[in-house]
Amino acid sequence: MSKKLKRLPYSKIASRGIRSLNKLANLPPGTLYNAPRFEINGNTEIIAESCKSILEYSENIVQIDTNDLIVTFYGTDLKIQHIKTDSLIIKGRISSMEFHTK
Amino acid sequence: MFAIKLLHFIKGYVCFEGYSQNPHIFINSCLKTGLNLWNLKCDKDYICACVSVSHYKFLRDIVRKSNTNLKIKSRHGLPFYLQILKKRKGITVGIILFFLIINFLSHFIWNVDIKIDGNVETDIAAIETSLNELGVKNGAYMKDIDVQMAEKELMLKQDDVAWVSINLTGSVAEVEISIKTEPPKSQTDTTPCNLVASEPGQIVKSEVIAGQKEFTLLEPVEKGQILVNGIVQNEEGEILHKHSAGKVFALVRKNIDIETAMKDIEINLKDENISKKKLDIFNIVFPLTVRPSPKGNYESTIAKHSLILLGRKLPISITNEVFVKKEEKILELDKAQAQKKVRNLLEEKINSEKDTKIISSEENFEYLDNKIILHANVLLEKNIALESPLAVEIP
Repeated sequence: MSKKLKRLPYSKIASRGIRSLNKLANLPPGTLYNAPRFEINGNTEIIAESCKSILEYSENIVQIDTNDLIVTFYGTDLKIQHIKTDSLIIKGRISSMEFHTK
Repeated sequence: MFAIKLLHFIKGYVCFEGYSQNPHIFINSCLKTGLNLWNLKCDKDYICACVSVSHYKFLRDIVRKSNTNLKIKSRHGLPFYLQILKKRKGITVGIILFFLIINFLSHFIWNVDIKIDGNVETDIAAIETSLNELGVKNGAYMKDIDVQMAEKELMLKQDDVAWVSINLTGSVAEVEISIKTEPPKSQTDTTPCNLVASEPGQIVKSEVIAGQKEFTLLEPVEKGQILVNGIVQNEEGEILHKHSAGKVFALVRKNIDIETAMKDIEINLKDENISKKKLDIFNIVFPLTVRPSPKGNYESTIAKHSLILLGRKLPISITNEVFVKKEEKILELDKAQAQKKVRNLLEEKINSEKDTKIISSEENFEYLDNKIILHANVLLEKNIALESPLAVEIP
């Protein structure tokens, strides 16, 4: 019995296509698509862009959902200083960051 | 950071707090709606944050969806202050008037700043008076002043001014002046002349700089006698005409008569004084004292105090004129006092002549009709050398 190929949803096909095009054209990652960007200043401030939603927020953990990744920040005295449409500023003593693909 | 805080203040913001059953739904809804939140704190079901005034209305739906109870903690920013001002129209009108008046007054001169170049003494009061006459004064309308004409007129009015520059900077008229310095008088006057005796006397000392000495020490000389000759023969036998220079001191005897009254006027200033104050704003004078100036024998002194703000003189000053009563007393002098007075007059007269001093004097006093006359036979040591040009024949 032949295996039926599982069809990917159209949005996933489109996004993979755009990424391949980005790679082929030798453009910096995120040029043709919205890649999450993080600006880290020391270990006290992080500016995260392309943030879709906040999954968890406490003094020791901040977990955010970007387009392709779930990013978790660990530390102490963590505080979301500023929230805007798709970016936020996290301040505090950051000890580590974890990335999980969806 | 300061710029962001300033922007928030200008737009106005509110700080709110509340309890939510689904705090993450609340935060994510704010994120999706595009609301600008800051100072966000989230602890179990407690939420606290700040949001701008214009975005606060969007929280209504989010609060309903996430079952949140919100309460405004504090309100900050310009819109809230303006709300208070709306009720008090006087403050708004006052603020607007303040800026309008400052703008209007900035077209007038508030202060005339005179700077003089160099270390030369000059009469600043005369320069100020001339500037006032030319229109450069406190309270003058700046557009009415022709600066170039004023500079030229000032140089014509004041002889000792070599260069002047008037700059109207802001509300201050800066006047920079350079005073003329006289060149030193040339000492090399080459006009051939002799030195002759201006008075008869006995020569006691001399300082001959140029010319040929025609006298000896202790020699008596007559008036007009040549003391230093300008016609000189050099070593080669050539006759030269020189400008004689120097001083020749001789003992000269003179009869001097000095007359003065046997009275003296003593002026006493009494303790009682009257002061009159005036307020000067932009050269408009407001009297602060209603009392008129006293009539009679009064001596007045005027003191002007200008207001100074941050090192700058303002065109607001208070002039205080103090009148002190003078009491003139006529004192009758006795003989000794009258003699002392007349001797002082004699000394002043002698000292007013250059290179002259009294060696001795024989005094004789005469008293007539409340007057004292001093007949003095004085022996003076004075410079009797007088330049007398040579009559030179031009071939």
